[in-house]
Parts: sequence; C-alpha cells; structure tokens
Amino acid sequence: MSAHVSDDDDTDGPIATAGAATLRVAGTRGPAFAAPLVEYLLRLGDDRLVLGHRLSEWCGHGPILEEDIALSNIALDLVGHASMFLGLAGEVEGQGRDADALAYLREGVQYRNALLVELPRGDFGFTMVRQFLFDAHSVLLLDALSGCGHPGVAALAAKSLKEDKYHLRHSSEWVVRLGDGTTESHARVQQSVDELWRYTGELFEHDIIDDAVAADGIVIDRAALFSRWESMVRDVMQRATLTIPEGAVMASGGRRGRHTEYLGHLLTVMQSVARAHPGASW
Amino acid sequence: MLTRESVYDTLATVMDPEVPVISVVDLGIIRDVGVADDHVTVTVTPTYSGCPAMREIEDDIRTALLDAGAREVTVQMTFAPAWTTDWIGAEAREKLHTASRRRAVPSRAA
Repeated sequence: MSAHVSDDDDTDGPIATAGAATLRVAGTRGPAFAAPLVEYLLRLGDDRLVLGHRLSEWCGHGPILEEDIALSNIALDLVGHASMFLGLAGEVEGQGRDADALAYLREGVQYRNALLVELPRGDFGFTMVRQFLFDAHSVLLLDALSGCGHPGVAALAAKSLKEDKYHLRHSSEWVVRLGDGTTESHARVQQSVDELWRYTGELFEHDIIDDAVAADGIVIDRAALFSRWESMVRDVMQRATLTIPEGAVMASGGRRGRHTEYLGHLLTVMQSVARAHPGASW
Repeated sequence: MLTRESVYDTLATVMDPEVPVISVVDLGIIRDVGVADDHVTVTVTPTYSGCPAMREIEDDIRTALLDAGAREVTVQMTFAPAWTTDWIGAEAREKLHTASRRRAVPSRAA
C-alpha cells in the first residue's frame, strides 16, 4: 500500500515555520486558519477522531472476538477524547460550533490531523503498528499537557492519559507478539513499520502554533518528547525483532489541511448521516 | 422543598444503565449538587471518556429530579479530577461482586 500525499503548489503558504512572527493566512482557495489555541485543540481532537474512526472499522472484523471488542473500545475512547478536545475548541472559538459541528461539518482541508492516522487500516499488523507509534507519542504528549498552564487542556489531557496508557500496553504487546511471532507475521509487521515510519515525523513537528499557544500556558518541548518516544519505540522494536528504517524522508501536511486522498473517503462515510439529516434529533 | 440531601436521595435511585444494581451515587460519578430554589444543578464526571451511556444517565437524572419536584435541572459535565474506581463505595463494590458472580460463565467443572 502506498499513500499519495497531496503536494500541490505552495500558494497558500506553509505555516510550519518555527519562530515566524505572524501566521501566514491562506490564499483564497486555501484553508483559513483559526486562532492558535483553536488550531492546537483541533490537532489534538482530529488526530483522535480520525484514528478512532479507522479503528471502528474493525468492529465485527477482528481476528478474535476479544480483540474485536478491544479495538472497538479503544475506538470509543479515542472518539470520546476527540469529543472533549473538539468541544473545548468550539468553546474557545466562540462561534457556536460544538464538537458535533466540528466533527461532521468540516471539509477535509479544515481537518488538522496528522497523516499517520488517516491511512487505511490495512491488515491487523498494520493497524497495530500504527496504533503503537501513535499511542507512544500520545501518552508522552498527554502526560506533558496534563501539567501545562491551561487548566482546561490539562484536565482533558489527564483524563485521556489514563485511558491511553492502556492503549499503549495493548498495542505494544501486539507489536512484540507479531514481530517476534511467525515468519509471516514478522514479515507483515516489518513491512508495516517500513511503510508507516515516514509518517511519524509529523507528530513531532514544532511550528508557529506551538509557539503561539505558549501565551495560553501550553509549552511542550517536542524535541525532548521525540527523544523519549524514540527510545520507547526502539525498545519495543528490538523486543519485536523489527528494524526501524534508516533515512526515511518524512511526510507532512496534515496540520495545514493537506491530506492524503484517504481522508476524503473517510469523511464521506463518517459524515454521511449528519450531512443527510442536518440537525436531526431522535 | 428540595434540599441537597433530598437530591442525593433521589440520585441514589438512579441506576447505572449498564450495571443496574448500583446507582450513580454508588458509582462515584456525582461530583457536586447545587440547589437554588427548585433549580437543581448536578455535576457529573464520566467513568471513561467514550462512555456511550453518559447521555442516557443525564436523561435519567433529569427525569428523576423533575419527578421529585425540581422545576429545572441542569446536568453539567466535569473531567477533572478524572474518575477512579476508588470512588466506588464499599457497599457498591459488594453489589458489583455479587452481580459479576451471577453473570459469570459456568466453570468447566460445572
């Protein structure tokens, strides 16, 4: 499987320039950017919403019932976390959009998730490797955020962290079991690691949004986060007898609304009911 | 005339929809109760953040309190501090043990 990163011309301007004084606002056809704290919360919420949706695709398709239930529960947790972060994003934005409006009524270019989480679920090994790479990052990030100077963000991070720790145990154990398993399972997860590695860099990008939210009390040292993540991942990969690819060129763009073609398909399915019946209640 | 105590008494009759042997009070998810005349505000925390029963719990709380004489009920959500199983009361723990024994899968020896 190969992902196609949309990489059109640059007229709407990169915003991932650490230290730039102002946000370069999008051109007419490009996405508009919200206030930094809103952007920051959308990134947190969208990562979890999109990954939760991908995991939910396993419901009824798991290799064993216990795993089917586990994946669906983890999906539920992630959608729950997304709901909290998007709810707060809507409150901070102050334009009357709630978590549902943000989840169901935004276009792909308005989504701020990392590319990693939108890739198709692949086989069970691919799903587990992706989950592990994300969980390891998420546990470290939420741990840091739970001590940040923004009380609302800190509370949501602390709540999510408790559940993410279980997710990490689950996914890391599966990576070891599959990597250090049969010839077939080893080959499949090694291929997944090779395919997924280039999507991990985006999780640790630091841009002007990260700089700007310092004013809200959120200061995360992503370089320190990366080094802790890397040693955690190396340890698990070693136990799993898996090899981390060297010299991968990192894909990027999700934080600026530039996604792979896969996100559009995912959103079409995820948003279909809400868009077909706007404002429905039952 | 509603009081904090009478509101807690009413909430003690609202069962967890998923494990209907223990109440929302037993479960430790009621974090605060405020009564201003007959407007009741109940602050609830979810056990886990994706809890699909949360909406139903809100509705059950609202219905029970309206039936008990509240004129207006506000159910608000809090996430901090995060819920922990330590907040399940001792009596509720016993009820949970009993319920899980009743639901247990028969052992192979049986």
